[in-house]
Amino acid sequence: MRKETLKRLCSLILCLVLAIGTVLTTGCAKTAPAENATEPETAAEAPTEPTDDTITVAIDTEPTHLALSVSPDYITVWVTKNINDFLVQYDPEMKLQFSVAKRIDRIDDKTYEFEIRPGVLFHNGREVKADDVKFSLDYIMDPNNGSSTASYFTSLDRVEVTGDYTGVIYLKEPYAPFVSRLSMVPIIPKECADTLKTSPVGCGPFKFKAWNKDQDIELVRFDDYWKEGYPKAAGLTFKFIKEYNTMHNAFLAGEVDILLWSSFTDIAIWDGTEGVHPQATNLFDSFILVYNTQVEPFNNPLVRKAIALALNKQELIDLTSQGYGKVLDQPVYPGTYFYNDAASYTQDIEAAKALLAQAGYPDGFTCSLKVPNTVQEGGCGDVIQAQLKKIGIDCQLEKMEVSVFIDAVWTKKNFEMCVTGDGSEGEPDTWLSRWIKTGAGNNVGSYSNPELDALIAQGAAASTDEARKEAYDKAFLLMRDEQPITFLFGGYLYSALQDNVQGLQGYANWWFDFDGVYKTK
Amino acid sequence: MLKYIVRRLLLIIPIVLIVSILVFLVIKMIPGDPITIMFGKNANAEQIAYVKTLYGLDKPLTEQYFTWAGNLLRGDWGSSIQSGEPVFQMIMERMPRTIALCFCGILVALVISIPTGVACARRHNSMLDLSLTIMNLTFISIPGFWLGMIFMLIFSVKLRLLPTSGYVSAQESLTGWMQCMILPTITTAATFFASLSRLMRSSMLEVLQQDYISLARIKGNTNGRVYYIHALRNSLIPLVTNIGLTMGYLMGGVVVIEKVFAYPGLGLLLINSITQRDYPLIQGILLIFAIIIVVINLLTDLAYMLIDPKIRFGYKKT
Repeated sequence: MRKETLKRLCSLILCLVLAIGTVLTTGCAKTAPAENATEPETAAEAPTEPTDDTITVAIDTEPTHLALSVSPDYITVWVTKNINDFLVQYDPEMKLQFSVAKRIDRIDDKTYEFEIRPGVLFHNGREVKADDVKFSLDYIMDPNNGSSTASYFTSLDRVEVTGDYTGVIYLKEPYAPFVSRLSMVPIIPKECADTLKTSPVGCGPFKFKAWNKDQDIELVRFDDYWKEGYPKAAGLTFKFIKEYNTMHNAFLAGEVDILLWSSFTDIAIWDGTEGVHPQATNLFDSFILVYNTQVEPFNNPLVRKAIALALNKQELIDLTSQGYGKVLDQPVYPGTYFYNDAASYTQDIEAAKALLAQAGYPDGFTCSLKVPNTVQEGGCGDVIQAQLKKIGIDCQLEKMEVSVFIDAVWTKKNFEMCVTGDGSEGEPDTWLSRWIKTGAGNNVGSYSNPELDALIAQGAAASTDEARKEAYDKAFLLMRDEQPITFLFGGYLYSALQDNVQGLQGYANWWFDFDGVYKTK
Repeated sequence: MLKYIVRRLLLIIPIVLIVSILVFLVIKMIPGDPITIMFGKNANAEQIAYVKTLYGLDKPLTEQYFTWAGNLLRGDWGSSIQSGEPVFQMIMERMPRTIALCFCGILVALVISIPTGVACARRHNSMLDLSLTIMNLTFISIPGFWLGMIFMLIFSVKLRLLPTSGYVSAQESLTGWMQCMILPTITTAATFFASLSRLMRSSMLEVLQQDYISLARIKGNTNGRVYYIHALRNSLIPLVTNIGLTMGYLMGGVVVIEKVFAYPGLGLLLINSITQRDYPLIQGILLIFAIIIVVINLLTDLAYMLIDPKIRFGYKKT
């Protein structure tokens, strides 16, 4: 009798476990991943008037401060771009458009005159004047403020205010991408500079309301925003949920309207789940293979070129990113103005072996490959290790925690090869002057080539796009043969939205606009 | 008894001293440093050197330790390297939330474990005993973070009854606070109520074999009176010891649970500070954890005296 009851009890427990399992797994049913993440079919027309809705956005990291002038890292940007406005901003096609600036005229190679729109207000009610533009640039250049944006403005000499709404910017040397760099300078009021990190005041579409540490940041609509009809939403709340699975569940539970960064492994889930949809943003970023050019055999360009030719980048994308990515071989994307078709190359194992033999390594060699332990970069390590075996290179793979990786590579320069990544806004000089130029901050491989440096300088200083392209064409050809770093592939940034949420605009430089976000009824 | 309490309180000093040295050394041995993390890939040597000097991170380890310890004695816990906020203020903002979570977790665990333990002992080897034993062993075997995720999937994603994560203060909304507390509390309780229930069962069974229980029965006491008045009190002693010991594990456990539920307590702060190698903050939090555990152990010892007069009188004699 007792045995019989025990059997029944066990069956009951088993049924219960299976029932819970079924309930949970049907909730996360996977379907085949969509080729392209798209807007939902029922996209509604954007409201012309502001709405009463507050949009909740989940991200997995909390900014350490809210001063966009101090650090333009993507977490700070995602939150604080909404509070700030800029002289110029990119449009979705990554073309510069005037924002607070009414015009910016190039007087000569080293002089720009700007005029700002009258009537643009800061959140404290004061009108934005040309003096604020000067203060905003000076704030970034002041070493006491420790702004990492300053490295983009080494060419800036001074700003002179010529009127309430006009001023002149003088450069030390010609620098063609200068105006595009102004898209990184939030215009800030002098009187609020002291509280920039904790309760920022700007002239953007949303006002700062509260920062509940470890929880969320609340922004509310700035009713006097200069752009008519914007922002659409009454408020924005950024929720910080460090655990990705919890963030995923909060989105599925409907507590969150937008999951700003979603793992690419979840795209199939969003595609197959009713009521939500994924959205992909094309990025101008790239995963790269960096060589320490100060150590053998990576001081030999033949070896670096052999490695570049041995890699199957599409396979890298397929195995590390489920096929979501674009093969890259130079600092700009295929199809963009500065891309040089002649500098592109594809996998060629035989040519790679021949180059290795020419370099004095016919049987290959053993080396180390350091990668951060993230899904994509860590995965790249595994695949590169396997691919380089085909030309006899035996990579000892070291997967490291991100901060340990940065310490080893950036601070100690203790590496032979490593995989990392960076982004840009499509401007060639961003990659070249930060990663390739002699002595550049991110030139961790200590590569130095005076010829390439001259071409980089020529491209940055040239006054016409044609002259710039001519210089960059030569630079990219030289880079193809020298491989100071090897560009692997670029990707997308995936977000997930509830179906009733529309209007999120992502940009190729990882920035987002929330001023057009609204909820459909 | 007062002498005993004073002696135990004085013991906190060497314990905290040893813990502070260990914590300091262990943190410094972790690869990576906060300044590199702060600047990331945008780091340049001058900025790194400047900030390292600013926080005294360029000085020898012993000097760094004595500076920190000296400041601590003067009541200065330092400032967070990443946010610049005072460490003590950051800890004090979050500590009540973690204490509330631990307290609620223990309370729920005791409310479940004592009756189930007593019921198992009363109906020793019955189907009820067997079922509860299976349930207990199941919960002992399940890791807390996984259980938290399962609760979240059922109660938040499927049934949409409770929030997945976050926190609302009780002053802001009592209902909101209770809703936010339910899942983390149940998960905290579930991680150790089972072991307490098992302990309660075995302790109760042992006590029930004692002569005074037989005497109580002979005297005509009802079963309820025998179990809950005569046996329960003595059965509680091992449980109290275990709760004291469990507090150490619980402090570790809430770190994980706070991360899973994005519960803004000390645990979440500790994880963030370790990720960012925020030395002053890590040191401050771990020191507070150590002090809490030492104080709880003291309270556990005092609780013995309240429960068992033999222990109380034993101290009086010495």
